[in-house]
Amino acid sequence: MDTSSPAVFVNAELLKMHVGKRVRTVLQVARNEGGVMVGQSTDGQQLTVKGGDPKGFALSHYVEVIGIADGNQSIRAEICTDFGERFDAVSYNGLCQLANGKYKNLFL
Amino acid sequence: MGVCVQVKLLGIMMNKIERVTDVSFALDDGTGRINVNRWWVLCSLVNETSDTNEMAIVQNGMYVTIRGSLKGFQGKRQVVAYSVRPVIDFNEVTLHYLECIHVHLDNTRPKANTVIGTVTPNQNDIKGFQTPLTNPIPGMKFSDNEIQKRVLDVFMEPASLVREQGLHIDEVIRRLRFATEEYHLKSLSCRDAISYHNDLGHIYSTIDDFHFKSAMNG
Repeated sequence: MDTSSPAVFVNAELLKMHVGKRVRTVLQVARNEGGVMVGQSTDGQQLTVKGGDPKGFALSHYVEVIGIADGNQSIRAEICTDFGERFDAVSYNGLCQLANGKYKNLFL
Repeated sequence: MGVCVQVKLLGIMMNKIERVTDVSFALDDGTGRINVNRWWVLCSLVNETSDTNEMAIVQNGMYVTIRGSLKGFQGKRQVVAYSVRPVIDFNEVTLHYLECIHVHLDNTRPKANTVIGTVTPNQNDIKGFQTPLTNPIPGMKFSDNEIQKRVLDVFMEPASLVREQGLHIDEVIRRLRFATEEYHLKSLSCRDAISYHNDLGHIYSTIDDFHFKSAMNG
């Protein structure tokens, strides 16, 4: 079992605390600008994603991004997964807060 | 590790290798990676032909849910899976991690020290998130009540709650016999207890008359 490079659950607010580290988040795609995906985080802020899947994802789909936080509002993606149109962003946002708060030790 | 622990994991499949005897892969759930084996002989014994192509459907990069036994070999942990299914609804991802927190809380909560054999009928070690049992029926023997409590406990375990079709009667009997040999649980008593809980609406039958699921939670 290898636990050397965990990906922390983040929303846009929590992302700022993990710049330079491996993170995972879900965003709703707003637009694709030549290989850069722009979307809304589960706490309602704008995030940009570079790399990942070059073919792009459908607008308004929720996409999970795992990668390195390279800025306060941007992630360099390693893996992107289409979570579809029906995804409960509110629950995911709650999970991000639990995973960075009281139950941090379970995830890192 | 001498004890075989049943686990459910969810994560992204990586490094899948198909061999004549088995399929191995790494499962990355964001907190770490663990190696998983799925033996072909298990596929054919457990699921017959319907799921023999189960391992062909799942590919690297896909989210999968696996169920299996946690094993330790030469200090390395690995899972021998009996089920590997692709995740279709991604809300399952959120749910899985919330369940992990839930199970952790349940495992670490302070428990009353109940000494086997001296438990009084009203001293139920019912979990905080459960609805308490109704009062014992007058005239009921102590052992019947204890069996009923243990049967309900099995249905209320988080692992049981998440199973869509619930538990088969035989599985409940098997698990209780294993855990409480001192009670000499007869399968008849277990069936009676299941019937009792079914009548009271604590559990309900699912896909057939042999599968039941808790009605209280989940």
